[in-house]
Amino acid sequence: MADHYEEFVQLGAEVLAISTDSVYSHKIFAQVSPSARKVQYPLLSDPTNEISKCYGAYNPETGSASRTTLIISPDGLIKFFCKYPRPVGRNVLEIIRVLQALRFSETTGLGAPAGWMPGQPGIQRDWNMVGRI
Amino acid sequence: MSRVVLSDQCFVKEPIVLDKPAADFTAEAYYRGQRVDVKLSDFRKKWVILFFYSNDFTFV
Repeated sequence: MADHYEEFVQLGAEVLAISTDSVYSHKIFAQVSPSARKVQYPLLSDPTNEISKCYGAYNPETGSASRTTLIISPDGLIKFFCKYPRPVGRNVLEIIRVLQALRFSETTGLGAPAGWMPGQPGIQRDWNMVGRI
Repeated sequence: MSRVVLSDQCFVKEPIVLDKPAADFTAEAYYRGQRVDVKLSDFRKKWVILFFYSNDFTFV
Protein backbone atom coordinates (compact mmCIF):
# COMPACT_ATOMS: atom_id res chain seq x y z
CA MET A 1 0.00 0.00 0.00
CA ALA A 2 2.77 2.42 0.94
CA ASP A 3 4.46 1.85 -2.43
CA HIS A 4 1.37 3.12 -4.22
CA TYR A 5 0.44 5.93 -1.89
CA GLU A 6 1.30 8.64 -4.42
CA GLU A 7 -1.17 7.16 -6.90
CA PHE A 8 -3.93 7.46 -4.32
CA VAL A 9 -3.01 11.08 -3.66
CA GLN A 10 -3.13 11.85 -7.38
CA LEU A 11 -6.61 10.30 -7.53
CA GLY A 12 -7.80 12.64 -4.77
CA ALA A 13 -7.77 10.00 -2.06
CA GLU A 14 -6.42 9.75 1.44
CA VAL A 15 -5.50 6.42 3.00
CA LEU A 16 -6.36 5.71 6.62
CA ALA A 17 -4.89 2.48 7.98
CA ILE A 18 -6.45 1.18 11.17
CA SER A 19 -5.80 -1.63 13.65
CA THR A 20 -6.42 -2.30 17.33
CA ASP A 21 -2.79 -1.53 18.15
CA SER A 22 -2.02 1.51 20.30
CA VAL A 23 -0.41 4.61 18.86
CA TYR A 24 2.73 3.55 20.77
CA SER A 25 2.86 0.34 18.78
CA HIS A 26 2.15 2.24 15.57
CA LYS A 27 5.04 4.56 16.30
CA ILE A 28 7.58 1.78 16.75
CA PHE A 29 6.09 -0.18 13.84
CA ALA A 30 6.52 2.81 11.53
CA GLN A 31 10.07 3.39 12.74
CA VAL A 32 11.33 -0.18 12.86
CA SER A 33 9.61 -2.31 10.21
CA PRO A 34 11.06 -1.97 6.70
CA SER A 35 7.61 -2.28 5.13
CA ALA A 36 6.08 0.31 7.44
CA ARG A 37 8.85 2.87 7.24
CA LYS A 38 7.51 3.95 3.85
CA VAL A 39 4.05 4.64 5.28
CA GLN A 40 3.08 8.27 4.81
CA TYR A 41 -0.56 8.05 5.80
CA PRO A 42 -2.09 7.95 9.28
CA LEU A 43 -2.08 4.74 11.30
CA LEU A 44 -5.23 4.86 13.41
CA SER A 45 -5.75 3.13 16.74
CA ASP A 46 -9.03 1.31 17.42
CA PRO A 47 -8.31 -0.47 20.73
CA THR A 48 -11.94 -1.23 21.60
CA ASN A 49 -12.74 -2.51 18.09
CA GLU A 50 -15.67 -0.09 17.89
CA ILE A 51 -14.65 1.11 14.46
CA SER A 52 -13.90 -2.35 13.08
CA LYS A 53 -17.25 -3.60 14.37
CA CYS A 54 -19.07 -0.64 12.90
CA TYR A 55 -17.48 -1.20 9.50
CA GLY A 56 -17.88 -4.97 9.37
CA ALA A 57 -14.14 -5.62 9.70
CA TYR A 58 -14.18 -7.20 13.16
CA ASN A 59 -13.17 -10.84 13.56
CA PRO A 60 -14.57 -12.14 16.88
CA GLU A 61 -12.27 -15.18 16.77
CA THR A 62 -9.09 -13.12 16.79
CA GLY A 63 -10.38 -10.02 18.57
CA SER A 64 -8.89 -7.83 15.86
CA ALA A 65 -9.82 -6.67 12.39
CA SER A 66 -9.77 -8.82 9.29
CA ARG A 67 -7.96 -7.53 6.25
CA THR A 68 -10.82 -5.30 5.14
CA THR A 69 -10.80 -2.40 2.70
CA LEU A 70 -13.51 0.19 2.18
CA ILE A 71 -13.69 3.09 -0.24
CA ILE A 72 -15.66 6.13 0.91
CA SER A 73 -16.68 8.78 -1.61
CA PRO A 74 -16.14 12.54 -1.17
CA ASP A 75 -19.81 12.84 -0.19
CA GLY A 76 -19.28 10.36 2.64
CA LEU A 77 -20.89 7.23 1.19
CA ILE A 78 -19.46 3.71 1.34
CA LYS A 79 -18.79 2.68 -2.24
CA PHE A 80 -16.71 -0.49 -1.87
CA PHE A 81 -16.24 -3.18 0.75
CA CYS A 82 -13.85 -6.10 0.51
CA LYS A 83 -12.58 -8.60 3.05
CA TYR A 84 -9.53 -10.78 2.38
CA PRO A 85 -8.70 -14.22 3.82
CA ARG A 86 -6.16 -14.39 6.62
CA PRO A 87 -3.36 -16.00 4.62
CA VAL A 88 -3.84 -13.83 1.53
CA GLY A 89 -2.51 -10.29 1.17
CA ARG A 90 -4.44 -7.60 -0.64
CA ASN A 91 -3.81 -6.46 -4.18
CA VAL A 92 -3.51 -2.70 -3.96
CA LEU A 93 -3.60 -2.38 -7.75
CA GLU A 94 -7.19 -3.63 -7.69
CA ILE A 95 -8.15 -1.01 -5.11
CA ILE A 96 -6.59 1.66 -7.32
CA ARG A 97 -8.48 0.26 -10.32
CA VAL A 98 -11.80 0.34 -8.47
CA LEU A 99 -11.15 3.91 -7.37
CA GLN A 100 -10.34 4.87 -10.96
CA ALA A 101 -13.51 3.13 -12.14
CA LEU A 102 -15.64 4.92 -9.52
CA ARG A 103 -14.23 8.27 -10.61
CA PHE A 104 -14.73 7.36 -14.28
CA SER A 105 -18.32 6.35 -13.63
CA GLU A 106 -18.99 9.53 -11.70
CA THR A 107 -17.57 11.73 -14.46
CA THR A 108 -19.08 10.01 -17.47
CA GLY A 109 -22.28 8.52 -16.05
CA LEU A 110 -21.23 5.22 -17.65
CA GLY A 111 -20.63 1.91 -15.94
CA ALA A 112 -17.21 0.30 -15.87
CA PRO A 113 -17.60 -3.22 -17.30
CA ALA A 114 -15.91 -6.29 -15.85
CA GLY A 115 -12.16 -6.03 -16.04
CA TRP A 116 -12.31 -2.35 -16.98
CA MET A 117 -8.98 -0.56 -17.08
CA PRO A 118 -8.44 3.21 -17.47
CA GLY A 119 -8.66 4.29 -21.09
CA GLN A 120 -11.20 1.63 -21.96
CA PRO A 121 -14.79 2.52 -22.87
CA GLY A 122 -17.59 2.53 -20.36
CA ILE A 123 -20.97 0.90 -20.76
CA GLN A 124 -24.44 2.42 -20.98
CA ARG A 125 -26.60 1.05 -18.20
CA ASP A 126 -29.70 1.36 -20.30
CA TRP A 127 -32.80 -0.84 -20.63
CA ASN A 128 -32.38 -0.66 -24.40
CA MET A 129 -28.97 -2.28 -24.12
CA VAL A 130 -30.42 -5.42 -22.53
CA GLY A 131 -29.88 -8.27 -25.01
CA ARG A 132 -27.43 -6.22 -27.03
CA ILE A 133 -24.39 -6.64 -24.81
CA MET B 1 -6.78 8.60 25.68
CA SER B 2 -8.16 6.88 22.63
CA ARG B 3 -11.77 7.61 22.02
CA VAL B 4 -14.08 6.62 19.25
CA VAL B 5 -17.16 8.69 18.59
CA LEU B 6 -19.66 7.16 16.21
CA SER B 7 -22.77 8.55 14.61
CA ASP B 8 -25.90 6.41 14.68
CA GLN B 9 -25.26 4.94 11.20
CA CYS B 10 -23.63 1.76 12.32
CA PHE B 11 -23.36 -1.72 10.86
CA VAL B 12 -22.82 -3.66 14.05
CA LYS B 13 -26.03 -5.58 13.65
CA GLU B 14 -26.43 -5.42 9.89
CA PRO B 15 -24.23 -6.37 6.96
CA ILE B 16 -22.51 -3.57 5.09
CA VAL B 17 -24.76 -2.01 2.47
CA LEU B 18 -23.16 0.16 -0.20
CA ASP B 19 -24.15 3.76 -0.97
CA LYS B 20 -24.98 4.35 2.68
CA PRO B 21 -23.32 7.07 4.76
CA ALA B 22 -20.08 6.08 6.44
CA ALA B 23 -20.36 6.49 10.21
CA ASP B 24 -18.15 9.29 11.42
CA PHE B 25 -15.51 8.54 14.02
CA THR B 26 -12.55 10.14 15.72
CA ALA B 27 -9.50 8.06 16.61
CA GLU B 28 -6.00 8.61 17.87
CA ALA B 29 -3.36 8.06 15.22
CA TYR B 30 0.34 8.05 14.50
CA TYR B 31 1.05 10.29 11.53
CA ARG B 32 4.50 11.21 10.23
CA GLY B 33 6.12 11.13 13.63
CA GLN B 34 3.27 12.81 15.45
CA ARG B 35 0.45 11.64 17.66
CA VAL B 36 -2.76 13.18 16.28
CA ASP B 37 -6.52 12.77 16.32
CA VAL B 38 -8.05 11.80 13.01
CA LYS B 39 -11.72 12.45 12.26
CA LEU B 40 -13.22 10.77 9.22
CA SER B 41 -15.49 13.70 8.33
CA ASP B 42 -12.43 15.96 8.02
CA PHE B 43 -11.80 14.14 4.75
CA ARG B 44 -15.07 15.07 3.09
CA LYS B 45 -14.44 16.24 -0.49
CA LYS B 46 -11.77 13.54 -0.78
CA TRP B 47 -12.00 9.83 -1.43
CA VAL B 48 -10.98 7.82 1.60
CA ILE B 49 -9.49 4.34 1.60
CA LEU B 50 -10.18 2.74 4.95
CA PHE B 51 -7.60 0.02 5.32
CA PHE B 52 -8.19 -2.32 8.26
CA TYR B 53 -5.43 -4.72 9.24
CA SER B 54 -5.11 -7.09 12.18
CA ASN B 55 -1.84 -6.13 13.86
CA ASP B 56 1.30 -4.07 13.49
CA PHE B 57 4.35 -6.09 12.50
CA THR B 58 2.09 -8.42 10.47
CA PHE B 59 1.00 -5.77 7.91
CA VAL B 60 0.51 -6.70 4.26
